[in-house]
Amino acid sequence: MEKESERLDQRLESLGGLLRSQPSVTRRAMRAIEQMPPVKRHRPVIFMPSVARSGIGLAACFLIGVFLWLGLGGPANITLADVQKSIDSKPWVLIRYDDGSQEWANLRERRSFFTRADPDGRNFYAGMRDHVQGIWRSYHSNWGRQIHEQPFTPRPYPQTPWEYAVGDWDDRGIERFSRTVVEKLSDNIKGRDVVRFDTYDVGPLGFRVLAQQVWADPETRLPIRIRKYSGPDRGDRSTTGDFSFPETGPSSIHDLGAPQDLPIVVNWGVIEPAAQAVVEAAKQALRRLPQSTRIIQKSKYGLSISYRSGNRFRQESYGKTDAGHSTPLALEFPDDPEQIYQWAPGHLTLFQVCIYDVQYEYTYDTGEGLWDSSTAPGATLRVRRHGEDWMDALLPIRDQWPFITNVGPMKVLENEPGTPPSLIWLRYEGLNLRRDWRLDPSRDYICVRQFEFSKKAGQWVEDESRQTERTDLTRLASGQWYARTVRNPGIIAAPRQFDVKVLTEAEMEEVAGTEGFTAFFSGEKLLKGATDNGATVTFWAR
Amino acid sequence: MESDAELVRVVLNGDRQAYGRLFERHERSVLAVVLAVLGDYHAAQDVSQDAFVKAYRNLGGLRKGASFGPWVREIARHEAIDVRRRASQRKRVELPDNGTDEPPNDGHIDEQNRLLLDAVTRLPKHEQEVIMLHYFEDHPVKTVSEMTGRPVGTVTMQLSRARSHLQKSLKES
Repeated sequence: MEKESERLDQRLESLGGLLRSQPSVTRRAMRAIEQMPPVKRHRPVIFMPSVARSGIGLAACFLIGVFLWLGLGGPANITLADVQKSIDSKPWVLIRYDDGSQEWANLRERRSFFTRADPDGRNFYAGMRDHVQGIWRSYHSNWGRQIHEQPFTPRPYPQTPWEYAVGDWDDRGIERFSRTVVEKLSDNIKGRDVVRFDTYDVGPLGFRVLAQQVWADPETRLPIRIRKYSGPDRGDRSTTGDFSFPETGPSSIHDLGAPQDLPIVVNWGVIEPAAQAVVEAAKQALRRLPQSTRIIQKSKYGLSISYRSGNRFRQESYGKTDAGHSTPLALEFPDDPEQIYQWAPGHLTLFQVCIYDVQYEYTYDTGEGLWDSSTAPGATLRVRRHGEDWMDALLPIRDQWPFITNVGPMKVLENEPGTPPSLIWLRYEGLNLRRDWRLDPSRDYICVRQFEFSKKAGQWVEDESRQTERTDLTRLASGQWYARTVRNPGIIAAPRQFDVKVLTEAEMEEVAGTEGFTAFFSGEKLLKGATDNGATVTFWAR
Repeated sequence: MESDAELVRVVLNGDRQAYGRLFERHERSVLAVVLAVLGDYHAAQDVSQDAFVKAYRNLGGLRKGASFGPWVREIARHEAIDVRRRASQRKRVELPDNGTDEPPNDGHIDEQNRLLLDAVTRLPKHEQEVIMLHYFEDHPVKTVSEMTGRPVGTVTMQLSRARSHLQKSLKES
């Protein structure tokens, strides 16, 4: 019996410990309470005591009580889902944003319209997406006298009228936060009592960032206002829109201001089949890169050492500056890459550590590098969510293979006289930007020369500073090629040198050292360490 | 230590911060009650918050300040039942998941603890209170005595009885 009692005691204590380990909501609730008027003791009021003593009176008192209870509890019972649902029966939703843009949603026909104009009227855009037919039609004042039409595959997202109406559907379906928290608060708009829902995205170690605010009418439950945050949580990157629910709306982009009688160009951004094949081959070459590598990149003023292990990435950047952190100092390195990576931590200053763990990119700036005049000195850490393909963007040699993310009209051109016949000439030509790449198909489609042009007074003019040359093509033991030297002939700058090494599992473990492989690639560990050291942490909203 | 009744009086005299102290004092027991209904930590936290806000709004109607604990737990229990009811209705009509305010399901309490919580919430109110304050809020018996305004001996006896009831109840379940 005593043992049973002891066991129960332990179970209760363990459950208590579990409950106490949960994050406290005191602060959240107190923030809501601080916005409410001070509470006063209710004065007892007696209605018609003689009647109340009778059965009818008791019933009446009961009904009044229920009415008061519902009245008091009404607004508190609204959830954000109720507000989102409240627009379902509306034919149209219009949101006018403070940056001059407007979003119209035809909820019955599942079409959305968007328009934006600069205050001076110079840049005007109007677009329409038909989510049933999968048609996107758009006009921009900079595109010349034409309207573009492009098919798109309607995605499973958006699915609800709310998702159509509030936009963001283009990428929210891909990159949704694993956890959000909604706080409900009382607020006031122009003297009117309203309910406000603050939605926070919750990131690693419970860090949260305000992502969206919605104000709603507690009686009708309809949304009144929305504010969307898109940058770091500093409150300076947001747009605010006011809701209205008209009976009718635009039927085409011309109703929004796009000129009439313009030709409709279908599939303007199409890639020609020959170009598509080259783009695909370049993509495959990038994908074939070994999954466990160390990449050293050195230049006159900087050194970076990157490690990739499968879908995990870590990069350390080093350099030196003058005492005022305003000028970079030229560096001299040992010749042997095996010496550089061990030598760097003791001889150079660590400027930055970047870790990517498939979900988040953590960029820790030690505050020891160059000080930007716009930022205060000090360590900072930025956490930003990215999709699964972000590794491509982080790899230092990624730009040796073009077109990984570009979409637009591309074609393969005949080589000019004098160009080695083994190279492929690929061109992207948009309305104002042209890019030419010369690729070497015998060496994993590495881009050995690159040129960029912009349109000025109707003519293509080369931007020489964007010219790039890649030489010293080298083959890894595993068979893949990369360029060891990258130059920009149009600007006075020393070349960048690369060294790529395929690491075995044992070598990667050795690099990770005593902290271990998992900790070496752990963004959360970096975040915790930076926080303990007093770094300013910025967690970016969606 | 101030009793709950004193803190309620201070709040009603306009000191909102005192409500924070009341809140902290009962937060875990409120969480326990809600958790017993919903079984999910994340959802339970949101409902606990709502319950405290609602309790503050209606605090003027609380006749006995000493009953703040049982009163706020009752509000929380009603809120939790309401949330559970609405969630089950939503499932029945198979509405699409709007995502943003639905609690995710990665914070479920395990079955053993759920049974224990059930048993605690079925105890008589006065026993439930001492168990929660002592084990869940981690207050020593003396503090529980000060908070509830009951003699130390009474609290000790109530704890002992509560444990016996729990043992019996857990055996039956």
